[in-house]
Amino acid sequence: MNPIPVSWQVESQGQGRAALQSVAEKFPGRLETHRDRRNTYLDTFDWRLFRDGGSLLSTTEGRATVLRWSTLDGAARFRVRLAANPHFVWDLPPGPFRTDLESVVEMRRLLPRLEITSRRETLHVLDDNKKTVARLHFDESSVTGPESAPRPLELPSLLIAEPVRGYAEHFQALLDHLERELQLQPAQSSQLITALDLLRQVPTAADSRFEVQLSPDMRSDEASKLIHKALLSAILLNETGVRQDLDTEFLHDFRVAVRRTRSALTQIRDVYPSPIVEHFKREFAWLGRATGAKRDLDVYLLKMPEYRASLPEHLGPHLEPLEEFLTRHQRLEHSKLLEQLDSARFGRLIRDWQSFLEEPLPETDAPPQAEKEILLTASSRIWKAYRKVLKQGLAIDSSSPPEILHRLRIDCKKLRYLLEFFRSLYDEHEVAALIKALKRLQDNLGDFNDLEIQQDSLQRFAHDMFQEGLATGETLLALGRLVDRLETRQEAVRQRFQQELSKFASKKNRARFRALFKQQTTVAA
Amino acid sequence: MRVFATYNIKGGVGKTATAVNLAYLAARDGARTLIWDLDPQAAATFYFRVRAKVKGGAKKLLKGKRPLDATIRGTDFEGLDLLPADFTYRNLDLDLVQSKRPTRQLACLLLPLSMQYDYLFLDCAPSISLVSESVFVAADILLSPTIPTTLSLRTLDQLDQHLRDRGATRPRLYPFLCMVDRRKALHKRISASPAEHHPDMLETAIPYSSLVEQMGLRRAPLPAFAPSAEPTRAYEDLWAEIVNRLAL
Repeated sequence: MNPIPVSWQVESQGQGRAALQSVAEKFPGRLETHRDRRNTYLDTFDWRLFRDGGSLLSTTEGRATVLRWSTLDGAARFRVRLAANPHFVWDLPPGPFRTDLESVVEMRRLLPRLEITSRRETLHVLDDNKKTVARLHFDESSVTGPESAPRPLELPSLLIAEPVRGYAEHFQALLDHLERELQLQPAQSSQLITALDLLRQVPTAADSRFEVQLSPDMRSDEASKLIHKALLSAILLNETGVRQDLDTEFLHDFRVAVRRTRSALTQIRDVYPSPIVEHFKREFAWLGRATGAKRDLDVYLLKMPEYRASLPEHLGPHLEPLEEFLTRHQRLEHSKLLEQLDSARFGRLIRDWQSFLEEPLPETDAPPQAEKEILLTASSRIWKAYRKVLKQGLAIDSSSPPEILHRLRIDCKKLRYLLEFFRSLYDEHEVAALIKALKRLQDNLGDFNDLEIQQDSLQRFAHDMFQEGLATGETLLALGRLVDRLETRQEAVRQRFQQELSKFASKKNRARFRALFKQQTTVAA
Repeated sequence: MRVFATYNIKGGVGKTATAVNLAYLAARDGARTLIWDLDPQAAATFYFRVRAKVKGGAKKLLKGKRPLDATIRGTDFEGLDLLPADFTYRNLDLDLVQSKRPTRQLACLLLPLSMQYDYLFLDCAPSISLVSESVFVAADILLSPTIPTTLSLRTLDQLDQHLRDRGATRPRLYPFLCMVDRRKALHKRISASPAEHHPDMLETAIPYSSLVEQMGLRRAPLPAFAPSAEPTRAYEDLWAEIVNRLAL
């Protein structure tokens, strides 16, 4: 419904001014020069808005901040006026803008990704009533990125014709005139894309999805090191965000990379010397533990809106002390976490691990599986992990204790990581289908475990809050209600387990696993 | 889409100024806003410098032969569009009588707009007629500007009674005091405690100001040409109060 503006790239200031002049001579209008405007493009660390095909532009207008969400081709989606720049989606007032934005960026922080300073001259094309029927802007802009040199880079100057709804004829006349009188080059892409190109920034998904390209005949230790290197860069990439506690996902992705590193160390067996494996297994386990408490508190804080919504309206406000309690402990845990990251142990771990990964592959005395082709190693590992999951899963019935489900959840996770490490070795669609099937089962097991832990933790929090004199009777009551709800939900999740398992263990999936991973093993034998 | 109608049985009480200024403020906050000038006198249309002309007139529009969509004009302000008035709107009553469902026709016409806009302001001509009845069916909120005089408060009671007699939960009536002249004892007394005169009366009152009259000379919403003037602040407070009440 919103008419889309048309832009052209302009060679020089002279050409832009001439265009305005030429239009002003032909059409009655009013010329307006704006002061320098500073626009900041906001996006998450992993460029969720950009990857969703949009841009979020924040502009200071007077004392207010105006936030505009548009598609990359310039069609406006939403606009809102705020008192200050938002950091998270929950800084926006409730409404469709916030709801839609939340579905894209979720809990991630809106970071200033690049800043564009523009000088704009506008010719308002007017009709007999001095009503604006079209606009022609001439923009001279420069861009600075957060990590780029302090000196701004010049962006190509733009001439932008902006239509006004209901005045299509006037707009067409303007376009016709511009095309007839001036030889203009249509702008190649949106301002954001042009600016990113200029800064040589590539908006990649720096999130927890794992991608590494392996070739089937690679040595197993070489492939293993490639996987570990990719995971190490994920750890380092997120470290700054973890330290600054920009949002919860830096630590989440950091921890996932640590967990995968450990999993690869134990799952891809006999490719590294065993003292190495033992040492780094211990050290990465320490890192996992050192970051766990902060993550737990992050998770509970993220769950607060859901908790509040699940309670009757009169009890919701009584969760306030829980939120305060969690926030205080979260800050405490964050400072403890910083100490760990500043410790000699962490520094040494990263340094030693990096230098081990950079070491040349051993020519002689390599560990037993080191020189084996990775395709064979991968297939045999995945096949074994899969057999284990299947056997364990099929042995579970409605009377099985929760610990068995817990064990199955861990084994599913190991299988999942193996599938992700080695997906580049197999047919993309086949592996994707298996990961999808496995994910459903994992979600069920994960929810079951998660709901169990939540009940335990909330009871522990209630106890601690009571001890610290923070919990009123109503708060304890609200927490009790919450634990009840979680228990009911957990039972429902447990009920669905059998169904999810039989889907995963379907004939089709079994055949897929066999075809992809078992044959390879027999060939090797 | 939330539908407001600025309405009063009496004329000359600041209905159009209310619709124009509040619609401007709603759009400034970021809401996608449309104002439909239903008054054949076309004051709102005039304020936005748009030509008061609808191709085919009211008849075609009401019959759905010309979609509302094609009649919408962008104003000079971001996020604010206008459906202009037309002189044929003076016969709107007659046109409605001839339609299949006289009182529901207007509400039906609005349906396709509901995805495009967050707020619609209907600026209505004074009177109680088939047109106002259609507006009552279509609107969620009736914003009723009321001058603090005995007669105006009596008219407000009449409107309140009429809405009650209809027996519907919608539209809700949001009256507020306007054109308040602090030099007049009666104005001063009534505006001291607005809720005493009607339980739903909004707290904010719009003062009498020659600046509001200047909207006709400037042909623009008041906050656009006098952003920090006293009556602008009053309209800002009024809009904030309305948004708050809606959120309850």
